[in-house]
Amino acid sequence: MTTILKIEDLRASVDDKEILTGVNLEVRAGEVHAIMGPNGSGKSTLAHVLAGREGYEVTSGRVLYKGEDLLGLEPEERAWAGVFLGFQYPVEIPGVNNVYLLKAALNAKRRQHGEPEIDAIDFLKLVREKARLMKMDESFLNRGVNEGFSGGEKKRNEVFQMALLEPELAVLDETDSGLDIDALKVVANGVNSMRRNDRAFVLVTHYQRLLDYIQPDYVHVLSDGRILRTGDKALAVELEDQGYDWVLAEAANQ
Amino acid sequence: MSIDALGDAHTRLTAGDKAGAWLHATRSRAWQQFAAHGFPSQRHEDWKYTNLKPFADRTVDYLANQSPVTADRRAPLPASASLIEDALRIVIRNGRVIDLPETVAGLAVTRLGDSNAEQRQRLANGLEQMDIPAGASLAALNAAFLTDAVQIDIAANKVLDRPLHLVFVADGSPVSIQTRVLLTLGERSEATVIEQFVSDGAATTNTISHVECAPGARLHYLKLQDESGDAHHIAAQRLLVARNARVDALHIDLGARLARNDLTVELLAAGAEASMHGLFVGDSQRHIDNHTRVDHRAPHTHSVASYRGVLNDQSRGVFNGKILVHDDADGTDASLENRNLLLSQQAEIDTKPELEIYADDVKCSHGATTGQLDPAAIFYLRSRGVADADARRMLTLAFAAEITHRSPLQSLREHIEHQCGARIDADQAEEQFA
Repeated sequence: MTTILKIEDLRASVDDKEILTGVNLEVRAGEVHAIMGPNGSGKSTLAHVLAGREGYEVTSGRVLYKGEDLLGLEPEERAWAGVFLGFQYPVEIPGVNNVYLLKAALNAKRRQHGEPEIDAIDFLKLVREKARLMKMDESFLNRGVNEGFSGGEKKRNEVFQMALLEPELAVLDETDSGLDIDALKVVANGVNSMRRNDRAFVLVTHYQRLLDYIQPDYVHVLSDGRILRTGDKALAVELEDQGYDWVLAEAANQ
Repeated sequence: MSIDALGDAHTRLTAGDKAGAWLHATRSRAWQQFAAHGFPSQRHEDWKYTNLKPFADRTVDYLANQSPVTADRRAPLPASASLIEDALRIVIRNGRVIDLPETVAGLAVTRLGDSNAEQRQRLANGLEQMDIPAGASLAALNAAFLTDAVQIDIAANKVLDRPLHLVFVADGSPVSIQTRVLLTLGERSEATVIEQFVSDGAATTNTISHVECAPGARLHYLKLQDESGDAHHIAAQRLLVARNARVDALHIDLGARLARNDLTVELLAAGAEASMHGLFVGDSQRHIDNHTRVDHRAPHTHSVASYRGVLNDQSRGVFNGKILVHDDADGTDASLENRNLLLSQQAEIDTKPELEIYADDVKCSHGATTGQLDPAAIFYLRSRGVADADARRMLTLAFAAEITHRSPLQSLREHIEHQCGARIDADQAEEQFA
């Protein structure tokens, strides 16, 4: 299987405080990786650095996306290359229509790949199909981006956008937080329906709950800015039962 | 150059007045008043943030030296003038009313030269009414050097189903333009009136519109100021709103090097309502000053004012809004808001929303905000694949859309958004006279 994402000894700081202290991770096509860890362990920082958010200084290491340097790309260039970030806190943007944004985003990507703009009717079909998948009412589509959406609706909208943009690498930052069980199932179903052998997922999550619905291939425990332990689904269950302390203690004793 | 140079010009102008003795006398009184006061200075509170000197110098120069203004009837109109389809069009070129719409029952459009005795009396009354706030001496200048005027009367109960479109075009060698519009809406009549200003040179405009809405009348008023980047544009509108009449005013400022607009609304009787919305968009070194004032003179009157500014480069905006609730205007409901978006470090806004309340039982609010584009929103859009410049443009247009979506006509909305886009894109060539 080809490697989609390779993170080597990644160190990153915010305001001169080192948050990521040497992350190593390899994600191959078709895989789902869950990154778990206590609050403040650097999970969201990792997601943001991968998406190119400002305010994070990468001090060493490198990130390769399909063999190419990812960190040198602007956020939109990453999107064009097939990277998607699902936000923990999706931003409300009144006045920018949800569907308008998606069409602009999709067409920007197509232009970059030398493809013509999507036909208006094909686009609407695509939108309807993905909205059905996410059980989103069509009235949401023509509202301002996330404007007045509940927490659950925002997260569904994130996965809806992902479904439409069809990334090769999706990084979902705590997409499960703030969801009731029904919304969680819808979100998980959206992700599961997109699993393909040429696409990879990195799920950043605080709770094991999401992993009841999305079966990960690997579970990593991130603490103090680096991955302390890697396992399979069983590790997540263990963490749910016993918390993170034993992992931290084991790591300290090594 | 001092205003003394204008004395001779005024004498020459009045000597050649073809409209008759009545106008001659009115002009002379207006001239005396202007000569006594001169141009407003920044010592005057209403002109604190706007230096009129460039406008004054140019206006004096043009008026003192320009030969009688002529306008070519056959010259084509700028393309943007035809955006409003199926309009009843009045064309005012270089200050001269050169084209009137076809005859429509219930609508009378009269040029200065064609006015009857009653209309002249109304026009003279208007010209000599010099108490237009914050611009008294400019109103006097306008009357003293009046280039042309048009009177529009809409009969009682008439619902005008086509927009009335006044196109003010300034082109050719630069001139100083002093125009008046007198508009009356009869009882329970309804109309959409658009005043659009376009130019291609360094003209100066000083225009005044006086609007009276009889009981139950409804007016949709839109002013689109899209003058050339060299032009100076000064305008005032005074709207009198009678019992149960309603005015929805929309002001869009996209052009001119120096622009100043004074909007005054008087709610005269119970049930009178007004909404005032405005958008001003500045780039390069434009200076755009909007003053609004609403007088609640009677109980149970209602007003909403909301202006938005978008300022790029070294442009500068000024907003001064005022709600004045007079002592017997109990039951007034009024709000006033100004929100501004600064797109560059050098852009500047001076904003002052004011309340002055003399009645007891009122509901009034006012506020102003100034900010920048939200970096989190920019990143969100970019992360979806929208390029940085497009994301900024999208967010800016979304901010402006809160105002532009009020445009009564879709074609105009698109034009406004397109022009607005050109102002906020640093790399896009400016389109002036398209």
